[in-house]
Amino acid sequence: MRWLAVRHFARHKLRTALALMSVALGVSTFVSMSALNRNTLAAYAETARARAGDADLVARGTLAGLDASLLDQLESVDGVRRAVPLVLRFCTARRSSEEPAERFVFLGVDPQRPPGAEQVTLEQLVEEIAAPWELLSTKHPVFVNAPWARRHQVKVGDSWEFDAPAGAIALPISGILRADSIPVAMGSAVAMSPLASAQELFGSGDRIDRILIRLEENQDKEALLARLQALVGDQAHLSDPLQEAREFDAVLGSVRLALRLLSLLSLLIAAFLVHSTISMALTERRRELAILRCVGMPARSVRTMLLREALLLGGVGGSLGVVLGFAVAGSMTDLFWNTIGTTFDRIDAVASPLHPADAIIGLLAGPLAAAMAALGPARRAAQRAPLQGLRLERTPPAPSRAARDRRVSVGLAILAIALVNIEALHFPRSGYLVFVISIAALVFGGYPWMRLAMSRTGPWFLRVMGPGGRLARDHLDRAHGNTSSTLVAVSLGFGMVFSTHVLVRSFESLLEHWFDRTIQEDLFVMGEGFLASGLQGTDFDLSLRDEFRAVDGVSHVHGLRFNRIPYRNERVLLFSLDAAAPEDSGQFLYVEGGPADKAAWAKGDGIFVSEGLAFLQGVHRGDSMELPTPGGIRELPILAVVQDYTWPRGVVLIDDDLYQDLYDDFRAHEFAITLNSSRSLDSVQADIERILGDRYHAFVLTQEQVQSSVFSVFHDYWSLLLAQETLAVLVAALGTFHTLLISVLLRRREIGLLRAVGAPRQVLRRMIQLEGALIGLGGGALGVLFGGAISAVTLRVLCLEEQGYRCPWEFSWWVVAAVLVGAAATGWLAAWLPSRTAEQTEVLSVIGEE
Amino acid sequence: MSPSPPLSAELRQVERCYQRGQEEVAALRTLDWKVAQGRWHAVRGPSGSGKSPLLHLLGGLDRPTRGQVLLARRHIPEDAGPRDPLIDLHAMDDEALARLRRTEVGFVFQSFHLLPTLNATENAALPLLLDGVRESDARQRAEHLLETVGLGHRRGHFPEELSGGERQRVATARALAPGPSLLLADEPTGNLDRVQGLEVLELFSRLMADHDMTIVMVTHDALAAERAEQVHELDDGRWLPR
Repeated sequence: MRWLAVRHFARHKLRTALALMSVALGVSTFVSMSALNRNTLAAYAETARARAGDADLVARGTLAGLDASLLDQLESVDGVRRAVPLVLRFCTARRSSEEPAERFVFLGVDPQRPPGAEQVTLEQLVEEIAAPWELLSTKHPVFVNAPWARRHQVKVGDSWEFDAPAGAIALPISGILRADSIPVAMGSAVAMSPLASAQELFGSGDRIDRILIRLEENQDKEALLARLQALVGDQAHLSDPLQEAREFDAVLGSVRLALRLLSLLSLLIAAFLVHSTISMALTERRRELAILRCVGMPARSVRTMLLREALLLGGVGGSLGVVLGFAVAGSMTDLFWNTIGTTFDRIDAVASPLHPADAIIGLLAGPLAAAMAALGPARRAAQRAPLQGLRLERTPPAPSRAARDRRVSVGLAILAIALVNIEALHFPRSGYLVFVISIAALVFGGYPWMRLAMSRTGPWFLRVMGPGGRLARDHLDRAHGNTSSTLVAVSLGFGMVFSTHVLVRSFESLLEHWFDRTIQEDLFVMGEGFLASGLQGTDFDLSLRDEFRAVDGVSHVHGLRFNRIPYRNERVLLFSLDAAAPEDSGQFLYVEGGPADKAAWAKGDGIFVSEGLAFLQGVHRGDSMELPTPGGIRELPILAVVQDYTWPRGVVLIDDDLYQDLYDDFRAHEFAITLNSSRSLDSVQADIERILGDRYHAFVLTQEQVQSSVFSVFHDYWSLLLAQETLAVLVAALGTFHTLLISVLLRRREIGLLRAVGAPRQVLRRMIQLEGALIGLGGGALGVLFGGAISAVTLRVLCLEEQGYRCPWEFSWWVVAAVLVGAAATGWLAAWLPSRTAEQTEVLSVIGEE
Repeated sequence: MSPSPPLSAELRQVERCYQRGQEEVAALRTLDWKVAQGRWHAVRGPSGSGKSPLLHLLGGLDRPTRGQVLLARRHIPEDAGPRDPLIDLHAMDDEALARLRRTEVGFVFQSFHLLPTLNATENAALPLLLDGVRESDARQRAEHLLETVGLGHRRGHFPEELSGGERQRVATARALAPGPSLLLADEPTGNLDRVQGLEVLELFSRLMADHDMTIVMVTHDALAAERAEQVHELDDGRWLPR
């Protein structure tokens, strides 16, 4: 009997191909997102491992670095094999002033205590090296990694300009390190120099940034970590290198969550299409199945046969989906890492996105979705009495009004519960629950809602759209089972589109408001792109601030410093700025407290914290925060809670004078300059650029440029979702196409009859296209409702539950109109081929069928 | 809407062959027939004798392999072709034939072929609506015809709510809606019980009297054929001598 399935698929090649494509696309979206998500942690772990070398533990200091004396202290402990000092800085460099900058991890290593293998020969370490006399005469020899050198055609003896706090400095490339001899973080863009040289270049005196700790064999890592932490006290924070990966993973949680939810939606869309496909195929094959039953096939065998068919379809489609998914994941990886790398931290993409778990998930998802989808239709087909199958009208009877009302009530009730729960449920991850409930509401209530909306519209359709329009509407009204699945699939696809729009618009609006009120400085001096300069950019000497202040037309200069500090198992952002800045440099948006608190903040009596930090850490105005400083833990009162979205895990805003006192740090990542109206912006900008001159490779950007830079990164961020949306809409369109094609084949008699009574071909064409457009329009309308609900849930999850702030839900009516028109047009286009098939129906071949 | 005057049709040396695999099977063989206007013709014959293909050719649903199917000129749309008392349906394009079917020729099928989503009135009004007649006018005409066929009280019912005889009467009302001059009926009593069959035949008799039209009815049923004015016997695609 298994050959029946194969023959059925072989006979209906186009439909089989469509069903396979639907499953493959759905599974591929799921697999690609799953692979991408899975690789996030792996990539961070890899990056953290690469930065840590082969260390078992890493000691990180406060912002002022670590005292070198800690090295001996740590090595004196039993179980510790080595303690390796490291200066680790992010910086930019370029071959010449005209060429674009490259971002580097700059490592300062102690030749006496090198990272990596303990016994290593020069040949094992270096691929190429400068001549000894050249090396001896070089003050700051720099070694670069071989893969990077090859990529940029860099040779020993070339000179590159590195951006250091004191300005740009030309350094000779003294050697090329073998690819496997040093960590390959940042896509192998690693520069290395002797420790003392790096300390001098980056102005860190005799302090170091990290200590990599290698333990003896068979040590209890956890216990030793506790002992070492107790030994060094507040001077250093010790952790497992993978802890850093986990911290970043938490930061990225919201992005991954959004991607995961959307990938689940894609799989759901595919499941609905499989359901629609199988359900319609069974309707079409009712005679074949009835004959099988007539000649003695038991109902159970019919059910098993149909389930096998579904499994075969799902299995093949799922396998194709896995292959496609990995291809998509591979192509999206660069975009993903570039976006994340610009926004949060430069990490290395995992080279191969292939992971057995993802393959297994994909291979199981296809057959599972297909089997679930086939269960109901197969059971119904098996239960149908043989003679009923032979006699059954092809167009199913409309469900009773009572049944329809019941489904509408259930659907609307679930939707209402979902919407109420968005605000009512406050336990963590309530968003997931509401997400599930919303989908259930759509599944149960979607199609009945459309039927309700279409009730009593028959005469209107006839009057306005003619007989073709009326028949299109009637068919939708009746073909509940099949159309319902397609409609839900279309709703999910366009729901994704609309929800993404709402998310983007809501975030954009929030950011715009925050920007307009808070960031009002006129010019910004930064080492690189706006967002990257904060955490990964070049350090400037704070003395530059005084030079800028002296420029005619400048009223105020902020020296901004961003640093991530550990706080209660999180890494929050410590943001230092001048609390005494005038009002026209920007005003805070207060959540707790008000402008009156600014005076105490400026005096250094306490700190401001962001709304997100307050929510995530459960702190309020009046509470205190314990901040790690070189002088030990300092408890500082929270003077106000303000809106600030600089860092997803929360921001501590500290006055720069207090910051310098506590951290002994006189560097800045950026300068924000406010002008008075005495001179034009252009002329002041020119003066600032003149001060920077050749000393610094820095950019002087206007507020508009900074703002557009932020929004450009923001849009890149969301473009990841666009890829998923495109796939989802494509799958939905395929589903509509498939449904209509089978619908046309099922209704050949009706179509032939219309031709027999004189319907022109164009009426038939229009009828099917209108059906497609109506499915699209109905799906689009439901998608707007569903997407609206889902976006509200997602906003809650992404903002409140993940980052601790509220983001107002906003949308545009233009986009609602665009979604509706787009959905209708998609349906219309999807109906093109089916409408041609309808148009070409031969009257006699179908009239004679009975 | 007054009914059109009776239509005459003529078959000249008509052959209709079908390809069945490699083999060509003839359904109609060099058939000649002059269909007299205003008469009720019954075509009888065993299964496979070519009755249905004959009807399909007359209704413009099919084209002959050889020969000509001609309809009286005055009933054919102006733009159909050169002026001639009779016009060859073969010369008409697909859309002109469709227009012919919704204006001049009425079909009644053995299996009724009603649209399940339309009620009796809407089914009956369908050819008019397809022809662009205003909905209110089409509805009025359909309701009148349903009254004529004795279904005025069932006009809001859907096909699944009607008996076989009632469905066939709705199908007849639909065939009459455009006021055709030629009514083609393919085994109109084939799916009905005896009483319902008689009702339909009675209806046809009444229509002949009231609407002055030509009826060509294909049937197996000797009783049904007896009601016709002229009975033609077809066997293996040829007329049997009377």
